[in-house]
Amino acid sequence: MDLGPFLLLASLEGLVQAAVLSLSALGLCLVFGVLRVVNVAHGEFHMVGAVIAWSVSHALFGHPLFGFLVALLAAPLFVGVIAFTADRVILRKINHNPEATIVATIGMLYVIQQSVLIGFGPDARAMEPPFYFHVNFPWFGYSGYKLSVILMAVALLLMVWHVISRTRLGLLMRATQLDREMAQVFGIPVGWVYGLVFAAGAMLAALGAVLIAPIRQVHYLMGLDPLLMSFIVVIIGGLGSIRGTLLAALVIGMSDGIISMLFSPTLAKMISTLLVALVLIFKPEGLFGQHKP
Amino acid sequence: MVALVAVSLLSTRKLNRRFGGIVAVKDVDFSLEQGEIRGIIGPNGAGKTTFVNLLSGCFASDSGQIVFQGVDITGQPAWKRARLGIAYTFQITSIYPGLTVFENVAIGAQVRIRQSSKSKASPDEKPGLEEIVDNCLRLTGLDRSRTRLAAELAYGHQRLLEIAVNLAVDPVLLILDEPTQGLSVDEIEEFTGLLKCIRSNRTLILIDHNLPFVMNLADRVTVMDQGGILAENDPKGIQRDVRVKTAYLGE
Amino acid sequence: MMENSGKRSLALHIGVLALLSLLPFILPDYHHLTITRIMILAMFALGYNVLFGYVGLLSLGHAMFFACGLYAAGLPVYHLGWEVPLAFLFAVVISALAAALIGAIALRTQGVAFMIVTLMFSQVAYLATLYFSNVTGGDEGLVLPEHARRFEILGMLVDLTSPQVRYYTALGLLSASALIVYRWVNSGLGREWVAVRENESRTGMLGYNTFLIKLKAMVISGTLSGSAGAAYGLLFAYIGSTFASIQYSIDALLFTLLGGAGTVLGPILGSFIMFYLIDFFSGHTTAYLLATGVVLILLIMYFPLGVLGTLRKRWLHWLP
Repeated sequence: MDLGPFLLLASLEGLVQAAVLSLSALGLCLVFGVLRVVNVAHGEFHMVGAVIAWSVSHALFGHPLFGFLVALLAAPLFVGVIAFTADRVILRKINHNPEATIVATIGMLYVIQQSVLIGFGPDARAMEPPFYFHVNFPWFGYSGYKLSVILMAVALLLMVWHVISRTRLGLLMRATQLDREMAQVFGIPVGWVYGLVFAAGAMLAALGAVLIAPIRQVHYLMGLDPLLMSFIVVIIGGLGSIRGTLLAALVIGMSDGIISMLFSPTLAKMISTLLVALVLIFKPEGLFGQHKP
Repeated sequence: MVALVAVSLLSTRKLNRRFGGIVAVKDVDFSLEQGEIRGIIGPNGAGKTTFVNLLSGCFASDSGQIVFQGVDITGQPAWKRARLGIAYTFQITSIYPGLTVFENVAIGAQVRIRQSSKSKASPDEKPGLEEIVDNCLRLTGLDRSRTRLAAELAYGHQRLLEIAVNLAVDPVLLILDEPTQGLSVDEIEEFTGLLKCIRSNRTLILIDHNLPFVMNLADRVTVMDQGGILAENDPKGIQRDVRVKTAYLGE
Repeated sequence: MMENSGKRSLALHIGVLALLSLLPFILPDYHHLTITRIMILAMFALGYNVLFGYVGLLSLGHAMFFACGLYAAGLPVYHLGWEVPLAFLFAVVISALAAALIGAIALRTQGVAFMIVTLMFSQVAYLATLYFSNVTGGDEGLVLPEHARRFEILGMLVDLTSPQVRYYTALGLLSASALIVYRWVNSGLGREWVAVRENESRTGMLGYNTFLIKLKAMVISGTLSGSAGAAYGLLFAYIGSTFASIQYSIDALLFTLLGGAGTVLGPILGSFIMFYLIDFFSGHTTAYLLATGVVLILLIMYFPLGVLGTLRKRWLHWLP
């Protein structure tokens, strides 16, 4: 293949990656922005979303599109309930202390992952795409489903944007993010807002997973990669900044696809992890939202 | 006043600090004499706390110069300034709540022992430490609470503990930021006695809203307003100053 | 500290170590190997606890120091045919240097950022062991050669294939580490650590260079962890990437939290409890990680002080 078409293909793959990544990174970013905690179990919510999607589409008869649409509702709902419960039961008990929350969510990571291993088994399973058609470019054919993933992700992001900027829930969220004590004084049920935002973050990860499940295989360890990638995106984008996160998701999702084609994936991961750690150390003001501008 | 007698312990030249767009401290020239008690007063937001934080090294200054005992300390971090003898008690009490009163003061005493053992070779640590701690506790009247946790002390005693911790370091200059805030009338009286007691070999800077307290203790008073120095005089002179009245009471 | 309680606590520590030295006579053979392993991991946790328990810095990347010691000891033995004692000393030095370097960079951050940064550095180290698999053996690891199973030191022949020798070597190392940590914790150094943990800004304003204090603690912590890694590799004659994985960082945290952060014996107790807890549940490998997760959550919710920390708060105030 010539360079032009090759780059087009790589960009398309990168866009699909960026689309899904932006959903799960946005989830992590929202949770950090409002609750000021890092959710290490975020990748596991992604994984559970994919497992639910597979189970739903596997259990339902009829056209795969039907199963997919049901999964699109069921997976985030299921994951949201788990996350909400975890926040109200576990994280509230430790007052959302940032360090304790990391320890607790590491615990949640193991519990969720190992429970899925016991229930779902160690095998990777493929999920049937909701529809098959190929978009034919002059040089290669491309999966129509993958293109629709990009569109669906954009639609979902727009919905999230609408909720945050135009609804009462979004207003409560922003008020809580700005000043927790003040919000409490004004009678905002901060505990509930925390629970809902934590659930919303997890639901975004699950939505991303439903979209990606028909492309990748569903596996109980599949949460680690989105977790690390979301970390990287959220740090580069400036923790808590939605615009920065989306931009970083686009850049990193796109470049990851291309870099992995050129270098060994292990080396690529090594270098990018090291770079991100150094960014976090030497430019924390710009990256951690809570610091002074 | 005879200028030759006065030895400048600390002086600043054109000291500046801004936060975002707000100028908190603006072109402050300030001079402090060895052994004096200096009061700093001024309305809320006048820049008093920011100014002493620049002295102690909590914040870095944007421009200007700070000289302490003839040494330019402008660029030095807080811990180096502390070793030179500048101690600071925070506006919001800052102690070690999870440790005993004894351990709190011992942490202060240990710095002093470290430093003196550098100059004179006396590796005998234990008796020195206990002695310093006991002295400081007796001075502040906390000796009976020796083994209690700092968190369990009453608020007034926690403030005293912070002073005890700082005394253990044996500072040349002790900066007290709002020491009487939240204390009862009786406690303030005791506190005044304590300060009179410890002033013998030290220089003190007092920031306080309690004007009678400051006027009673201070040798000289500096009035700050809008980040700059508005007036500086002995307490009587300040009380007569019209500009000061305007700054406090409004135009 | 009161004289009396000082003696009491020293007696307790020596008593615990003495008890460990008697265990092989009491317990059936099956436990010997397990306890040997636990003691080395306890030494790792002991090092972790210096930083986490005393200075209050929560690292999520201590596996990199453990693995650093493991490889720095194992690789020269495997590739260059070094003697075991020399390789061990080399590993100790390398771990100290690595900890100093990582500390100098990572300690610019605090709190959550420090956790994430150490996690990421450790992940880089882990990936490096995989990437350079032609040297490290990667995931499969390397089995150390026969010559590394016995060596002579001070005219004594030490045979590492003997379970007894391994047991007492591990115990010796653990005891030495515990007593060193005990000594430091009860000295001016320990007071500085706790001062930083309890109120870093106050400590700095008193004239302490808190960065240097933290860096020193990091080096001590990393060196102890690295020594434990070196001991693990040399005693069991195997080195592999697994030991650099995040799992081991979490284990050190778990053992320390469980036993009681900021107590000398806590990490040792935590290692024993966790090992036998897992032993009790297991059969299949999955239970191990599930138990890890459940215990972590329960600890952080209900017993953030751990077993010994809770005991100390309720009854035994003299416990160091």
